[in-house]
Amino acid sequence: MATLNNILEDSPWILKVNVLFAILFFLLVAIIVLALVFLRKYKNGREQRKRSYQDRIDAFLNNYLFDEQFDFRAEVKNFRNRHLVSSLQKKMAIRQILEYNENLKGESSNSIKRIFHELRLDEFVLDSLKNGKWYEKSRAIHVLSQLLVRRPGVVARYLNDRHHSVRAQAIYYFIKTAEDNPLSFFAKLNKELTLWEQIHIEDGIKHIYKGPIPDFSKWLDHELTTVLVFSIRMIQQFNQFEHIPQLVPFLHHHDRTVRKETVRSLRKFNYEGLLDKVIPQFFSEDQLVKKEIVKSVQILGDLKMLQVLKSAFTQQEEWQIRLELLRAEKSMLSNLNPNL
Amino acid sequence: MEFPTQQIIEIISWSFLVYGILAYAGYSFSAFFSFFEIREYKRINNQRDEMALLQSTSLPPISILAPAYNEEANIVENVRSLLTVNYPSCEIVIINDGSKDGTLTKLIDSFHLIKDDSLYFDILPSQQVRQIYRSTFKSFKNLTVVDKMNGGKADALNAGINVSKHDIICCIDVDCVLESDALLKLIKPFLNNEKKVIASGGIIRIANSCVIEDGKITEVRLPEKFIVRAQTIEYFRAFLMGRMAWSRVDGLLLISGAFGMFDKETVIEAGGYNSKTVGEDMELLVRMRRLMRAKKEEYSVGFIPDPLCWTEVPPNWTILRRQRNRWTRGTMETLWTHRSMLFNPKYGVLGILSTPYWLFFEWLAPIVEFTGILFFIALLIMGQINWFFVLGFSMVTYGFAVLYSVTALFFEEYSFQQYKKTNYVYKLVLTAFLEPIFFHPFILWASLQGNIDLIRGKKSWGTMSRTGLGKVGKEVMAQ
Repeated sequence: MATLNNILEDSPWILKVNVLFAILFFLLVAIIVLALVFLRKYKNGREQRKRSYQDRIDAFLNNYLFDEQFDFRAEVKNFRNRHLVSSLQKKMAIRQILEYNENLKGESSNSIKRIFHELRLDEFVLDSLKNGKWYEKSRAIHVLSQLLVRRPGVVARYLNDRHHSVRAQAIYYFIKTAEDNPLSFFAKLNKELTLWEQIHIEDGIKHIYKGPIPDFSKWLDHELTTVLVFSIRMIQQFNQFEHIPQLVPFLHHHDRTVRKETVRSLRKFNYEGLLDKVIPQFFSEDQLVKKEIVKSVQILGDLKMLQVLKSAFTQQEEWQIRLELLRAEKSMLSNLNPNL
Repeated sequence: MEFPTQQIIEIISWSFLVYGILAYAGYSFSAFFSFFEIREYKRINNQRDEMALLQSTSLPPISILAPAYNEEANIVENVRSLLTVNYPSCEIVIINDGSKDGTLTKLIDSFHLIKDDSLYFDILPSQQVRQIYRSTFKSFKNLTVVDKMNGGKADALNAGINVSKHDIICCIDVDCVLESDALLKLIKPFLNNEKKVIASGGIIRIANSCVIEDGKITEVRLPEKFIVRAQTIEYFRAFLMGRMAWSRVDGLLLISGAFGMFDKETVIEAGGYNSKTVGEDMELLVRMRRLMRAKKEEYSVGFIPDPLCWTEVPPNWTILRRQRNRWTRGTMETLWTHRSMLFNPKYGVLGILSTPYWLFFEWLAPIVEFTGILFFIALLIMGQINWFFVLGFSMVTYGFAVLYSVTALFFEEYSFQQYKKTNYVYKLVLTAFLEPIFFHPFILWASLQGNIDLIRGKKSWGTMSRTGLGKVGKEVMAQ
């Protein structure tokens, strides 16, 4: 060792730096390997703890739900004081309650929602919502929506949150918890909806929301384009034929996505006046809308109309539209003569 | 005048040192950025189960394009696996790229294919399409098979794009095993972004030794062979540290050809896959990004750190050498094609960081390393070696290599922890220590060969035979 020290002392600085970094790197390697092993042990341990909490919570919830001898006040107090002390315990309890909530229906589902409050887990969730970081807020809103905790005033302020994930959860909250008018939150929105959110909202209205189907035409004058496009699509999806006259002016809207959605919706409604309105503007239209117009001619029009469009179509760059026209023509011909 | 040998040695030594420091700094920054990217992703995706959306009819349809060349042995199993993919609306386009074996016959027989005369437009150049087939069976109604003359993977994908019906395309290797929610996760960036998303990619995982049943990974096992384990660590480094970091700074230049999703309109506008390069996946993304920059249109490229796709990596040295040879040629061909981007501030992060990084630390690294070895030999001959210096430099280099690998292992443990058995961790750590000595020199050699082949004008892929994942699974299960 003494010889090594002597060599190093007499060596140029660059060698000393090298040795120093070599030692540093090996030290870091040792630390990271230890951290890796520790992390594995910690995760394994945490998994075990989670399993044990989970078993305890499951036992408690099963007794609560199905044991007629269950002493509600005493057991709840005891469980809260003994087994809901750490944050992990509370999170695990919430997770299990969410799972039960998803799998139970009717009275049992209501009981699960009740126990969530009785265990004062709602306070924990609302505290996360108030004081937590963005991902804790997002999680909190998710829990509130799943367990139908109705605090629209509290959640509304997150509809335009800076963080996308929080914003999305707030939107889903309103859909899931609404008893009627599930889209009332649109009035408070000032950020455009992503397609992902639109799919979630549509899915929520179709499969989660139980109240009367909203009147989507209420949102046709919304200042956000995506809300407008969504409303047009929903009018068609929910067969609100009575709003067709309100949709027609949107064939001339300045935004191409709005025009596209309007053509598509009116086509699906089999709206008779559609072709008279869109064919004259076909050649000046955007490609996106042209495609929909061709599909509309295929479904609502005749071969003659299609051939008029085709004959006037010479632009090389619009190959997609030409292909659509040819496909439409082939389909119409084969409908006329199935032997073709 | 005396020849300044000593000064020249000093200059060269310092050049190596500066290069090394820059490389270490680059790798350290990438580790730093990756950590935050992974953490954020975990936080966002820890919150809700979105699998329910797979029932939604509003998700946009996807065309899955999978080229096949001489895949007779596994094609039926592979296509069956693809047909089970969990997504409400997708078509699967298998492109038989002029296989010389019975790939097409097997497909026709197994899936009851008949000739299809659907119209399509040859917007992208490709070799002649002989015939398009579709199935007479309803259960295979979303399967289309394109039979074309051989033209290579890029050419086959172009033909697939021409025939595909939907606006989002997903290009994959036909033998990949996809996670059940892979398509949903990969399409999410397209739908959940304020900017236009032109492409998204995910992490590729190594399927060798894993147990596969009905086209799904049912048990993740650590490969027994050292060569595959070393590649496992390489993949951790490349995906969990490299691409995650580039994704965070919006400088991603490569979405793996094994599994990537693209906006078809942008792909076509950019000219499709370039069949003149063997690095068609990287080249396409770079061209798409240049196009968007030229159009001055805001855009984004998504990257999902979840393990979405499992693939078989070369299980022997010969195939590995061919693969790395090709990767080197592909990288250089792309960098050369797009050389005007290098250090060009007009391209932002791509011009200032990404392309220089790929040039200096991906393509040039093996050349610098090899030059270093030659320099060392020259010094040895000249009797100019200071063995303490050699030891010092070697230990620093080796120490950093191991450090970088164990950090990647730590990230994997922190994030997805795919290898559940604790002894796998020890085996991977041991591999991290052995990899710089027994694996890296081979990769160096293969990369140098790639450069030599590039100079010679070699354009071929080289034969890439595969064991077949189904078989691996069965072998493993039989053990």
